Amino acid sequence: MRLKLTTLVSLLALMLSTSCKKDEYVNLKATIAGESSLIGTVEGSPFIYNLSLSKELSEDLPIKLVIDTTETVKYINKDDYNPIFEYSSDSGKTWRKGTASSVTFPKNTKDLKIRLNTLDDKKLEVHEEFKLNFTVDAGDKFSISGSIDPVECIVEDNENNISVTYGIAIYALDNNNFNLIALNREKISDNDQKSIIDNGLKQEVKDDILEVTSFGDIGIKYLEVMFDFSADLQGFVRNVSKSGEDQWYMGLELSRAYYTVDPVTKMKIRQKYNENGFFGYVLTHEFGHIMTLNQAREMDILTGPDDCSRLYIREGCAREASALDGFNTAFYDESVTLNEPSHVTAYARTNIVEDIAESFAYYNSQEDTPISSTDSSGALRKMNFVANLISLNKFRTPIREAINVKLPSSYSDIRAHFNRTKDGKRISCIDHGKIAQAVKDR
Amino acid sequence: MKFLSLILLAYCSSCSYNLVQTPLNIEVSLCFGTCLSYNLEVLPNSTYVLSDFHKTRLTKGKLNSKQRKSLKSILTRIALENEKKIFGDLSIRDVSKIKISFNSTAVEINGRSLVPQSYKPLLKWADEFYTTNTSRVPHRTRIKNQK
Repeated sequence: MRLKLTTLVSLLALMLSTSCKKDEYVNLKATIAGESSLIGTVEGSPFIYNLSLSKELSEDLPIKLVIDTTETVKYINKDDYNPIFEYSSDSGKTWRKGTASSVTFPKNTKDLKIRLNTLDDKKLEVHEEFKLNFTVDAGDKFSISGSIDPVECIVEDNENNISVTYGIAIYALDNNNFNLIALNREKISDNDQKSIIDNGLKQEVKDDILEVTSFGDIGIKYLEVMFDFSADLQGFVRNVSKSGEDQWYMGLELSRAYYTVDPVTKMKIRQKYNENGFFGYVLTHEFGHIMTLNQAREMDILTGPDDCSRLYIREGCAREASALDGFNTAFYDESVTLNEPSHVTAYARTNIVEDIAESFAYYNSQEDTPISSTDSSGALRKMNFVANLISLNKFRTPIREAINVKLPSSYSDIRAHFNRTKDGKRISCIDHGKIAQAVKDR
Repeated sequence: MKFLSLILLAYCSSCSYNLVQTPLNIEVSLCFGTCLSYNLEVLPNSTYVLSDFHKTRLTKGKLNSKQRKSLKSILTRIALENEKKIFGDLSIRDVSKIKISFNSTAVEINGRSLVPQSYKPLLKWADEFYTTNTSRVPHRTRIKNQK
């Protein structure tokens, strides 16, 4: 009897087990879909992307993932996210770790969340981007229809930022450190620009800027970096102090330090840093402004126009024996006539401030400065003015030792006897009419 | 009375015909680089004088109807009346300074990057007018040295 009962129970158990196996859900066919083609997050928060299947599968479905940064200049840096993907099939209640290239769509589920954690690094950056590419690893086992389009992902940087007017970034200079304090996210449009933001300025640029601007013991407080080869503006300066001190803000176009124009093809080509000396010329021009407009020695903002008996400009009243006051007396007095060319460059004609800055840059860039006489051109006399003024000429040797400084390629040396007709015949230095005509003919 | 009405009508017609009540002046200075630079004056009767940055006259003439129409449309869209403003920092050196004045408006802009949205179409129009109405290559700062 006991044996019969045991046999019966065994038989029942066998029947039950067989019946369970017969009812097991088997499905390897479904359609997959993703939620959208664009997702965004703020730095420090995760990206979460939703996938869905039309039917539950009876086995785990592997999904391969690739972070693609090849098509964007605002690419996400590798240290800005945790590369391990996570996934959840319970609406985000629990998360499981995938790998850096895959997650699993668990069996018997229809909805999957994929998570990628971004890292809050307290660093001012662009709003970074990448493309998330999906591949369903169906193999021979599954029959999965549908597809998941690549998803554009944008990580919004959460650091405070201020506006940048001309360039891509502003650095505050502190103890020879260049601290990024602002960036123009909209202007970042190539890898050079992105690299400056991510990695900072190259040491060679920093060294040159620091060295040249330190010669006058005034220095600069801020640097606005421009990097656009097609841009018109090459540099600028301004004193941002509101209280009569020297707090100089300099803007410099750096692309011309790394690129130039091929003289034959007229195409933009890469050059060794400041190989042609043009960047050196620009930096010297801007430094010339600081040396002639500073409050410490040259200008006095506290003396108003009514009390100023010398040259008065926006930076204030020119101090006695200042470079600008001397320049004004020598070349801007109504009684002074200057032989052509009266200025070293066309830009020098803008105003007295640009005239002296260009004369300073020219004096430092040209190999030598021929001695001038009253019959010489205004351009040469202005170069000689700089050459004979100790407060300015003392910078020539240190500047030329610090940085490669050359005249722009379209300029040529200012010599003592350079006035010639179109046909190459020499013109007397005092034949102003013929000189003016020759200048026009060029 | 009829006579007065006629005079008023003629006066109003003249007002609407004129581009501006006072000359339109657009001065664009050089920058340390290769910026466009010119002075453009357009009188209420649509005659213009275009000069270079030394105020040397390059060309003068009268706007054709297409130019007049496009300029009038742009000026109408600058809604701010009596605007007397300085945009940007006056003490900045080397950027292009732009002065625009017409009717009761007079603005000074220190740097092309700071041109307000409302004036951008006008400046674009003037830039194009300059480049198409001068036989010279657009006069840019970094020209050949004058020797």
